[in-house]
Amino acid sequence: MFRTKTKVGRLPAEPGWWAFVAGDLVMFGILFATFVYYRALSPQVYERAQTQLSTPLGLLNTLLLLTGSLFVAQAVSAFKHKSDRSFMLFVAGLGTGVAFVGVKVVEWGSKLAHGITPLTNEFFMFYFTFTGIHLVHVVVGMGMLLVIALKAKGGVFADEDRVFVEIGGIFWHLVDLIWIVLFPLIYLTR
Amino acid sequence: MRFFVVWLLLIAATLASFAIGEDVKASPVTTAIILAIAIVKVRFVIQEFMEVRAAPLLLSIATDLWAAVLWVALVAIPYLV
Repeated sequence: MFRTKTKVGRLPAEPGWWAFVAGDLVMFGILFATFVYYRALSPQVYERAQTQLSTPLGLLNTLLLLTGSLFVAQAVSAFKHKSDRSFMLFVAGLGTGVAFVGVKVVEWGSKLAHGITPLTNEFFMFYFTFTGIHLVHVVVGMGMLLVIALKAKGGVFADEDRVFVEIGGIFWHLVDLIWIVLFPLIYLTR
Repeated sequence: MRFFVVWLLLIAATLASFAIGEDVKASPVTTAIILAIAIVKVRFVIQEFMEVRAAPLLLSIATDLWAAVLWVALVAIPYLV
């Protein structure tokens, strides 16, 4: 969007990292397609089960991740401009991750309290598996944000840290964009 | 400022798809619309936050292709079952 392409583009992070991102995107693409396939085989089961999800909590988590992505994009930019704001912005991004995990614990806890587990039916098997794999991504992303926040803390903004900062930023946005598809697919559409 | 505008658009799109999902009777059309909104959001995140718009064109094409194929697959698969 707002395309203003320069003549020679600069690849953020490094090529190997984009290969990983591509692999992750393909994996989730296959998982999402598998879900849609099985949903089409027994739509009534999925529709009934979906009504037991908390859409407001899913929405809240979407808003948290989008806001976290804003903070992290600004933090990476601030790092490149050697701005002291970088550290606090990374910490704010990390804060949205903590809040996401908190909401997810409440959501899963409420399901389990009502006796809903991955074994309840096919829909909930997909629900727990997809949100679980995504949650692992969130936690790994938080670890990366913590490390790069500390790199931004010293006020050195070393050039050799720049690639790692970009890698962490891109991973956090990947976590966000997977959820951007996962949320409407599982919570909103039938 | 640019990141902030993108974030505002993403929030607005999220609320719009939530409203459609909650208030409009579910149908293949609403599903296609909600997923299309998601794909547009994904493109904003990739182009703007991941800075792909300033990267070599090949990366833009590859990520756009993934998003387009994903949307077609998610919308079309129910008709093929």
